[in-house]
Amino acid sequence: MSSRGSQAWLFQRVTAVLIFLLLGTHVFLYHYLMGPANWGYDILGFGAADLAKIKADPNLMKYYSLAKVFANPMWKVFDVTLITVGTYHGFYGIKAIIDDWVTHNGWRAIGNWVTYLIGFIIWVIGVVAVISFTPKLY
Amino acid sequence: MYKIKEGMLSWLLHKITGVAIVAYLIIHIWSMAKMSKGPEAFNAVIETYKTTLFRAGEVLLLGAILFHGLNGFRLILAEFTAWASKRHKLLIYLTYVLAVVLFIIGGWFMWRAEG
Amino acid sequence: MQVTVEVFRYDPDTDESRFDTFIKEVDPKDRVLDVMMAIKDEDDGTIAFRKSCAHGVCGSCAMEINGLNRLACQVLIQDLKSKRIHIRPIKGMKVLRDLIVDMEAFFAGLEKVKPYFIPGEPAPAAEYHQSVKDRAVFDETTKCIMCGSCTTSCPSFRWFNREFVGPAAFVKAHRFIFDSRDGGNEERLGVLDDKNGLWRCHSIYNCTDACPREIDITKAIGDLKRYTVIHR
Ligand code: SF4
Ligand code: FES
Repeated sequence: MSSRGSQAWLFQRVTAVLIFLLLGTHVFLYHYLMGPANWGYDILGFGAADLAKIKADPNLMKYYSLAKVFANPMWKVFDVTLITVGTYHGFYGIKAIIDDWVTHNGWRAIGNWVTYLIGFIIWVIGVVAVISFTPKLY
Repeated sequence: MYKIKEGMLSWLLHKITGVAIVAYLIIHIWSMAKMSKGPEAFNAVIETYKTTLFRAGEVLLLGAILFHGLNGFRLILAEFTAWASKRHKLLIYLTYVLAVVLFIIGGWFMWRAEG
Repeated sequence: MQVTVEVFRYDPDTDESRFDTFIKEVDPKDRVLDVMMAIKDEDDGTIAFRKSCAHGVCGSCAMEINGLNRLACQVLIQDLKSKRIHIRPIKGMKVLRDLIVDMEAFFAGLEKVKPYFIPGEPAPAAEYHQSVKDRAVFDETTKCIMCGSCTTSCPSFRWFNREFVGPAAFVKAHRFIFDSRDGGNEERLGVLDDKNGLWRCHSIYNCTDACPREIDITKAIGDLKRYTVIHR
C-alpha cells in the first residue's frame, strides 16, 4: 500500500464534510447564540449574579458564556477536533496550491515544508489555548 | 488568451477564497489564544473586532466561505457522481447564484448585528 | 460574408513569431479548415498546419480557434459568432512551425498509462467474452482520436507541469481499466496514483469543454479517482 496522493485526495474531501458540520455548529453557537441572538443567558442558565456583572459590561456576556461552555470538557474536545481538521484541510490546500504553481523543485520543497511548519505552529497555538483555558467564573 | 470557462473560473475562485480563509484562520486562532487569557484580554481583543475594517473583513470572509463551501460541495458531487458531472455548468451557475443570495442575506445580518 | 483571419506564424530558422492577417470572403457554412486551405492556396502558400481527414476522425487539425481548442475541420464559421477568427497553435508544447507543434509531451503522457490491451491471468482458451453491459462502461472513452485538444487546454498541463500525464492519457487509461477483459490495472495504477497523475486534476472541465468527440473526460477522470482510492 504505497500511496502517492490517493489518500490525501480522499482526506481533503472527508475533512471538507467534517468542517461543514463542525463549522456550522461552531458559528451557530459562538457567533449567533452567544452573539447577536443573545440567547446565551437562557441556554446557559445564568443566575442573577452573572446577569448583574454582564449588565456592567456587555462584552463580559460573551466571555462568561464562553467560560460556561468550556466548563464542559465535551466542547474542548469539539474545539480541538475543529482546529485539527480545519488546519489540516487549510494547510494541505495551501500545499496543493504550491505543488501546482511553484514549478521549481527546490522552491516547491521549501514551500511545502514552510507550509507544514506554519500549519503545525498554528495548530499547537490553537490546541494549547483551548486545553489550557481555565474559565475564571465569578 | 485561452477563454476562461465556468469550470476554470470556479477553480481560480476556489484557490483564492481558500487562501483567504486560511489567512483568517491564522488570525482567528491567534487572537483566540490571546482572548483565552482572561476577561480583560478578552475585552481588549473584542474591541479590535469592532473596528469597521475588521467587520468589513468578516463580511467578505462570509462570502469566501460561502463560495468555497458551495463550490467544494459541487466538486465532491461532480467527482463522485456522473449525474453531477454531466450537469457541471448548471451546477456551477447554481453555486454562483446561491453564494450571492446567501452572501447578501448573511452579510446584511452580520453588518447590522452588534458584532 | 467577410471575415478577418489572424494566423500565428513561427519561423524556426529566424526564431521569430508574429500574427498574419488575411481578409477572406467566406460562406458562413464553411469550416475554419476550408478558410485555412483557401488562404494557403490563394494568399500565402508557406503557411504550415496539420490536417488529413478533414472529417474529424484523424485528430491532426487541433488548434486554438478564438480562445478555445477545436478541430479546424469541425468548426463552422457561423458557429464562431464572430467576424474575427484568431488562430494559434495548441498551447503547452513546442511550436515547430506556424501551427504545427511537437506532440512529444502529449504522447509521452499517453504511453505512460500503457494504452494497449494487457491480457489478464488466465487468458481464455478461445475468444474473450464481454457482455453488452460491460462494454457500455467504457464505450465513451473508446472514441478518443488523440487530437490533444484536452491536454493542451488544461492549466495543470500547460501552465505548470508538462510531466502531468494529462486528460487524454486518463481517457485511454479509463478505456482499458474499465474493460472487463483487460488485466493490466495494477501496472496502470502506479502512474495514476502519482504526483504527476490523477491528483493534478482539479476538475476544471477545460478538457471536457474542448473535446471534439464530446467525451465527458472529467467524469471519466472521476471514475478513475474513485477506482484508484478503492484499489490502492
Ligand atoms: S479525449 Fe477528446 S480532446 Fe482529448 S485527445 Fe481524445 S478526442 Fe482529443
Ligand atoms: S483533419 Fe482530421 S480531424 Fe481535422
